Amino acid sequence: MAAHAPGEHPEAEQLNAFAENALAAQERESVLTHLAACEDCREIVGLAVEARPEGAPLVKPARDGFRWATFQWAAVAASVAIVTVAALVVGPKETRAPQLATSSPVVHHQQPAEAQPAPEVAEAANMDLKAGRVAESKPDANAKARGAEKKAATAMGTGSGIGAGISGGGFGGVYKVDEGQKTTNGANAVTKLQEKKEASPAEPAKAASSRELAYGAAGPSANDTFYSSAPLNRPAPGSVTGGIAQRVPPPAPAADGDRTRAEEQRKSSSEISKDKRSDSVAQASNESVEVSAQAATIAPAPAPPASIKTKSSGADMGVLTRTYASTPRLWRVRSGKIESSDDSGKVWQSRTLAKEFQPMNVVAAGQQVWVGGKAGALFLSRDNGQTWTKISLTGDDIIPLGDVTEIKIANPLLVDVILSSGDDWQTNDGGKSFRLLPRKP
Amino acid sequence: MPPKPIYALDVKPLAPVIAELYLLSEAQKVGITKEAFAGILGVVAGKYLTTNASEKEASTFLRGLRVQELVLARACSAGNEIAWEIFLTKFREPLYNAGRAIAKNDATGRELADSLYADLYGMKSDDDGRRSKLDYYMGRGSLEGWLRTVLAQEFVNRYRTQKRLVSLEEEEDAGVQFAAAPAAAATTSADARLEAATDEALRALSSEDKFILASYFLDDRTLAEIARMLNVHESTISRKLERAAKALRGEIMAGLQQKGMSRRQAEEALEADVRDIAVDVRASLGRERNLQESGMKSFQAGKGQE
Repeated sequence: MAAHAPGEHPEAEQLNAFAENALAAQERESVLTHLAACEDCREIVGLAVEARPEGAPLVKPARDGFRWATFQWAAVAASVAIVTVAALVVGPKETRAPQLATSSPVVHHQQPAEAQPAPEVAEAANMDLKAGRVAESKPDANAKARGAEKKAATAMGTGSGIGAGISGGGFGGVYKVDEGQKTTNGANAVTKLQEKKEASPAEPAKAASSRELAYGAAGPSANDTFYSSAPLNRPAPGSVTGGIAQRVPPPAPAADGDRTRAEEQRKSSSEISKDKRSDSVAQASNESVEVSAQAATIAPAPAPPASIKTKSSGADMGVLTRTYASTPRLWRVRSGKIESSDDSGKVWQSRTLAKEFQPMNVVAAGQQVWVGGKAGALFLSRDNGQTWTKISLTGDDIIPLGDVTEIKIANPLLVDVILSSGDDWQTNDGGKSFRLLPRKP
Repeated sequence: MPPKPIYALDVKPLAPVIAELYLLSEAQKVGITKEAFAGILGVVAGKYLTTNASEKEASTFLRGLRVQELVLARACSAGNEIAWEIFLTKFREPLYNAGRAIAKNDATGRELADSLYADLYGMKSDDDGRRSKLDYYMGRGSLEGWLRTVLAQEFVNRYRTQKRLVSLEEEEDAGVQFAAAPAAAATTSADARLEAATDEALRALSSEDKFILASYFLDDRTLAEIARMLNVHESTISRKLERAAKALRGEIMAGLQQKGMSRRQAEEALEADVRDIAVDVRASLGRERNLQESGMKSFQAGKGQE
């Protein structure tokens, strides 16, 4: 029986052209209409396509249209790039002051003598000025610092920042913090940094610059270790050495308090300064609180390179001091709200990301903070909670998704979002796009 | 039947394009002259271009053709030995591989491919006694893909014939199963409304959505398979499928409520086990198709109830 009358079913030519995307829109539509209703022709196309050898061509990119989320990230990336370039073009001295002032309230070493701020601040401020002391304790420090500058500049130029950042020390030095453990953390951090410094004097500057490049793409990494430990190491040179002992034990809260005082001297609004605070990153779960080593500045990229570029002998240390007094910001979800703490969990500040958003879990690493909630809702902050972006896993909000049960950050670019349905959505570009991983049988 | 050209390719203004494509196609190698080449293009363009297609459209269309393979197919059809040599070197192996892949069986696959070869060499035709199936290749997709599709077509034709025979046997052997059909036909009024609402909702879907729904739910294809058929990424299909299913449900719900059901009743109607509902989606989808063969429809409807 001739079931396939010629006019009725599309010819092989047409079906093949359809399967190979070679039809114009109108004809494609008419073939689709037929296929939707004709099981046999679906079968034919299916068989022919299945018989296509591996590596045969013709898969269009998955994206079929404009995605707002992509655009948003592109905008962020572009603005970071612009700011970076601008900072490099504008004279370093001009850029340095405002950036330091805004990016880290602690360090106002432009006018160190002006105020008598908290001891930490004073020391921090003095650090740059007393670069000579660095030389005392490490005679060749200046030379090395300059070497580091060059390396940093190279890293900037080649864009190897991300690579350097990631290879430098692995992702997210995550410490568990209990009340009694902070000191240990600090001590560890000091050790780490000292080791690092001795092993490679160029590292800090390199890390600093790579940190900036990595901003927006990579998050924490070696840099974070460096930054978080940097403050603790700060007093090391010269006569301040004793400062380590002083500084290490009084952990986060004290430092925070000092900083706040300093801020109040500088800025009338403590709120602003809180927002502007450039440090701390946390990883928190509902019950336990994990803290990842903190990355430094949120302020747009250029600060460290700029300070490096000043070529002052203390430039390197300037980077260090600038990030001093960082208390990792902790995150948690409590009774349906996101909370963060900047004082190791003493005071928790509730944050609202969006109306009707019911957070379920929060994970932070470096500057990245991921918050997952009911019905696949997902928010990402890349600046430690200052600004948030709503992320849509599927590219639109139409499809109902399961609740976010888990967020796994393998590195700042590679993140898995697990839903209650068992779906595993993975991004390998830091949240710009997601794909649904095939289920394991 | 050779297609009747609707669009007449104006060779003169398109001469540069045709000349360029002639070189590209290496038609000379297989003994096709420039004039013959223009004739081949004319037939293809006549078949697919609308009568009022502009010169630019024609030029774009011609450039999109796989002229090298088109020329090879025509040369083979004309019995050019060099062309056949090239054809066999290039496509013999893929053809047998495709046969095996489609039939999922070595012997059947080989048989399938062999029978296609016979058709390619020449089928019986009314007018001049012999006509190669290759004449039906028009160069819009790849020749290899076309060969695979022809194989698949042939396979489905045979398979369906066989299946029809089998289903008749089944009907005799397992008459009890078929006896259940009248029971299902005694539909409640809710079912009738559900059927109408489903029909309407299905009609409202885009053809792509219908295609995806049918492939996924009726043909049991995987997301990956559907994605390959549509040349998109798997996640796109996943997304579209979810969206279409949701839209369909919403439409049916609205339709049911419009037909006088309360929301709760509508929900209940939808929550009933699909297998208990006498709505034949396969038939609903097929209904839109204007089938000349009415037996075909009942066949499909029958399968839907299996």
